[in-house]
This record gives sequence, C-alpha cells and structure tokens, in this order.
Amino acid sequence: MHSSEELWTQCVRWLEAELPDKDIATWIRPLHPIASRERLLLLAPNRIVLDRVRQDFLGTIRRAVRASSGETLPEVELAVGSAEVRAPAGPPSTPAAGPEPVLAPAAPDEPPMGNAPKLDSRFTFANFIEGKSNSQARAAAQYVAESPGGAYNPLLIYGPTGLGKTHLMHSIGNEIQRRNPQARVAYLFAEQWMSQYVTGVRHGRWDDIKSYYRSVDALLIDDIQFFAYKEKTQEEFFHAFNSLIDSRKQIVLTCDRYPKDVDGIDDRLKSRFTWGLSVAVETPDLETRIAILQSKAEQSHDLKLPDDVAIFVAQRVRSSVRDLEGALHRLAASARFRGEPLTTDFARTTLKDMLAAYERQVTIENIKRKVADYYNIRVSDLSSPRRTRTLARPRQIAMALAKELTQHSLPEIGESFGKDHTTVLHACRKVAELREQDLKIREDYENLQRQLGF
Amino acid sequence: MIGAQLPLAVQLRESASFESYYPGPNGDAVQALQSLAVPVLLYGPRGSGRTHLLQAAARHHRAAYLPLAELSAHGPSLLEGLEGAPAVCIDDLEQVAAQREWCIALLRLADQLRARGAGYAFAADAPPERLDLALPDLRTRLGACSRFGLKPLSDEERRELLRERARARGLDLPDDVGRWIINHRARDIPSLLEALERLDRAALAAKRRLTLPFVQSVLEG
Repeated sequence: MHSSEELWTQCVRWLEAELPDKDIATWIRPLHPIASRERLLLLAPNRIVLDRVRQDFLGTIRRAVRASSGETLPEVELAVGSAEVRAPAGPPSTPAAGPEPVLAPAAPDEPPMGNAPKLDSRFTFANFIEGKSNSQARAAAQYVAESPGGAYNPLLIYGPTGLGKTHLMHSIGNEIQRRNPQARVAYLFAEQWMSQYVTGVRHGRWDDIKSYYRSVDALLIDDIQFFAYKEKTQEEFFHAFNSLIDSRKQIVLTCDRYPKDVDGIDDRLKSRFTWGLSVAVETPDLETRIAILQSKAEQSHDLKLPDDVAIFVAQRVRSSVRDLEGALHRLAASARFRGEPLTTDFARTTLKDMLAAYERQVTIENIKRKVADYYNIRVSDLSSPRRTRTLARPRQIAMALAKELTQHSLPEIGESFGKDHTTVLHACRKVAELREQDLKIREDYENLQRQLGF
Repeated sequence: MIGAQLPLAVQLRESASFESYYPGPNGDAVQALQSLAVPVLLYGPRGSGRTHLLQAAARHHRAAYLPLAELSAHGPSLLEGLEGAPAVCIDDLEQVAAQREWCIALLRLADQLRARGAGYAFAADAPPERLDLALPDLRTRLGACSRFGLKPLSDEERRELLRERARARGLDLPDDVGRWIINHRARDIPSLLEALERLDRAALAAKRRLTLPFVQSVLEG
C-alpha cells in the first residue's frame, strides 16, 4: 500500500516519460493527490486545470496508476480543491475554491470556503523601519493594535503602492493576535469581498458569510480602491461596516490614495472610511531608505550592507520600498554567486540595467503623457496657448517635473511646450511654492514623480 | 523497472533543466532560481533562454509552470488556487500586463505565495518599467523580485554550448565545425540546437563523424 504522495510521485515519474515537459509542468504538477485504498483523488487548483486534465490526460494518468500501483488498483477521480480544504466544484464560471478569511485560532464557526489569504507573520512592528514619511501611520497602527475598537475606528492607511501600508496592516493583525490569542482577525483583499459576495449570493450563502464578518473582532481590508464601481458590493460592505463599528469592532483599511480621490466609490462610503483616523504613508526619505536597506539586508540575507553601498542604492532607487528590496536581493544574489565583496562599484555594475531603466524612462514626452493622463486632459493641451487654470496648472507641473527628472535645458523644455525658458523658470518656482502651501498639489506632484519611477 | 519501459525516442528528448542550460554570463540568475529563497524576475528577448530557465526552475521546485502566451485566453481564473502550490513559475507576463484583472490576480498570487514563504518566479520580454502594466501595484511586486536581465551568449559561448551539447550526445564537434555553424547558420540558441539534432541523426544514420564537409552537406544539402 502506497502513501498518496509516494504513489503520485511514481505516477508523475511515469508520466514524465510519456508527456511533454510542458504539459507536466502546467497541468500535472499542480494536481494534489489524496489516496485511499480504493481511489486516488487528484485535486486541481481550479476548474480550468480540472477540465483540461479530464479532457486530455485522464486516460494517461489511469495508465500511469496501473503501472505504478501494486495489486490494488485505485479508481482515479478529479475534483477542484486544495490540500487543506476541498470545495465542491461549482458550475464552470464559479471560482470553486473561493477565498476564505484567516482565522486564528481556528474558529469553529468559520464559513466553509477555500484558500484564505494569510496574515504574514514576518510583518511586525519590530521590523518596520520608521521615518518621517510613515511615523504617524506607524504610531496610529500601534495604538490600534493595542486598543482595537477604540478611538481610531476605522483606521485608514493611505498612500501609493509599495510604501509599507500592507506591512503596517499585517503588523496590526499579528499584534492583536499576539496580545489576545482568542481574538478573531479577518484579513482580506477588497476584491475578495467582492467575489465572496458574488459567489455567496449565487450559492445562497451570503447570509452566513455576512454574519461571519459581523462576528469578527477585527476586519482588515487591503486596497479598498478596488471597490470602485462595484455598487452592490459597496452597499453590502456599507452595512457590514456600520454594524462592526456599532459593536466597536476594529476596522483597518488601506487605499492607494485618499478615498475622496477614488472615482466610483459611493460618497456615503467615502465619508465612512474617513470617520476614524486617516493617516498617510509617503515615500521614505533618503535616511529611511538607507535604514530599510540595512535592516532588510540583515534580516533576509544575514548580510552587513556597507554604508556607502546602502547610500549608493538608496539615492538611486526612490520609488518604493519593494524596489529597494528587489535591488538588495539582486545584489546579495550576485555577490554570493561571484564571491565578490559588496562595494559601490559592484553595485553600479550589477544594478546597471535596473538603474538605467529608471533613467531611460523619463523623457519630456513621457512626462507630458503621464501628466495629461493624471489630469484627464489631452497631451496637446499642455502645449496650447490657453491659460485657463485647469490647463495652466498641469502644464506648470509637467514643466517642473521635466526640469527635475530630465537633463534637458530650460530652453529645450520650454520649446517642447511651445513656450520660452522664462515660462519654465516661472513654472518651477510656482510649483515649488504651491507644493509648500497646497496639500493637493504636493500629493499630485509626488504621485506623478512616483509614476515616472522616482 | 519503470525506466526500462521508456521508448528510445523519449529518452533522447532534451528536457529543460538547469543541467541542460548553458549559463554563460547568466550564472547568477541560475543560482537565484535554484534557491528561489526570494522571488525572481527574468527578462530578455525571445531566444534569451528565459523559458528554458523558468521551466528548469519549475522542474527543480516541482512548481506549476504557466506560459501565458499560450494560456492567457483562459483568463485570470487560471491562477485560482495556485496560492497553495509549493512554488509557481509564470512566463510571458507581457501578454497580460495591460489587463487590469490579470494584474490583480498576479499581484495577489505573489502576495499570498510570499506570505506562505513559497517561492515564485516571473519572466517577461522586457523589464517591469517597460511592460506597460495596467496597475502600478503589480509593478512594485515585480520590483520586489531579484531581477535578472538575461544576457545573450557571445559567439565563443555559443560554440562552447554547441561543443558541450554535442558531447552530451556522444559526438565530437571540432572547433572549425563549431565556428562554421555559428558563422553560417541562424545563431539563436533554439536554431543551433535544432541544427545539432539534425547532425546527430544524420551522423548516426551515415555512421560518420562530424567533419566540416559532412556537416556542410547535411545542413546545406
């Protein structure tokens, strides 16, 4: 009698000789075996894999089983599911293994759904690097983790992707559970709420799911901008939201911008999102970027990153913490492989493509396109002689960006906007001034910088 | 036992493994994929070997391998359930980069694999900055990968690759022959390997060694 793993490993070996590599890698390897004496149940991750295997490979798999099993010949069956939970296969368009909230400790009354996103235990307050750009958000997150359902409810953390919102959110969840192992924390992505709603309604289970969410101690929802234009989902969320707040359960939300600026979200919901405390996470300054690099080098690679290398990388990689992480991974990998010491020269050579890619990308045309997109105007408007505020402001911002992010001379920049260099100079001064005084302009400017890779 | 039942043709089939990849200047990418301790992103034009490497990684880690150039028509539901896999390798990202729903599915898959500590590798025909992604969120996920722009082999490395592959088939490929192939035939790796395959069969059939005249007659005849 084989264990299911053993039997399946043998079958796969047999199949490897019979089928092209690619079919093995794409269709056979994702199958997960569960064997008993009478049958070998193969769980496919989704309906697409299941259908393809049934159609093209089931016969060959049966032959593999015949060749690999001993005297007992198990029946081969296929289903959609994962190693932990086997969800019944729904109609073709149904995501059969729907997402499930994370529960820790496992609550007896959790709704029977498929794979859940997990709280990442590596994200903690202890390894969150604090700087000017995120200290307020960090302090608020810590407060919420210590007093869930208290003064800051909901806590909304907003800012562009890759700056640590998710790290803070996971830290809150992990800390709540550390302090109270009985606490039920549900973590999910905004779009999962949506798909749970759709499948829940279709299978008549929405009431169960709803009451489950109303029973948790803390609900963490990542990226609520993905709620945009999903009216029904928003309405259901609105009710769940109100009921959690009423019963003093903690809600934590993240969004890639201030919710008022997200199109396609109901105004009532937008105002609810900002009822509690809203805190921004901004691009980390140089000092913080250096500290992030050094901390991650130690944590992930057990590596002491020399100061000058950290400075070299941090000065050039500015757009997101994830990019810093990627640069570090690459440096560590190549230094290990080549057995070379980590110097700035080594970093310059190793990261050449990456750094050049940043620089190559920024052209005046590219800046104009991004700015026009951002403000919903035409690229040609940026070079038109019209001076209405709705055009003049974006034009000035585009000019200031061109001066900051490219090497072009002021006359060159002026020319590409159909203006002379004094206009560019004026624009740069004006934008610098506005960035000091006007929060919205500052945010716009920084968003655009980031979109351009800075 | 099982091995003995293999038909001969199948035994000769070259499979995409790390052993059958000639690393040349891309040795650090190979090592990163072998370990997969941190996520990896490969990019490079067609024929740069990204597919070979990614398939090798999939084999090594018993990972699912998804070439989106062939599979994107299935839609992003193709990725459902894969967050539970031991590792995942996704090829041809450029095929779906401009589609929002695909971007969401890919970034969530990356997030969940990461949270579980499972490895993943992506490959695309261009670096993330030039992929025209529908969502910046996916760009930062790709940014978090250890990225390797695969470099093409030099002619010297291509000759070495041919020599090595010939040796693996029990053939001796003299230097002048290697040089002639590189100078006269298509130089991309798949074409070179295909030429070698033809030479191998012809040499076996004619019971000849790979001399220059013989090779010329096979490849140009």
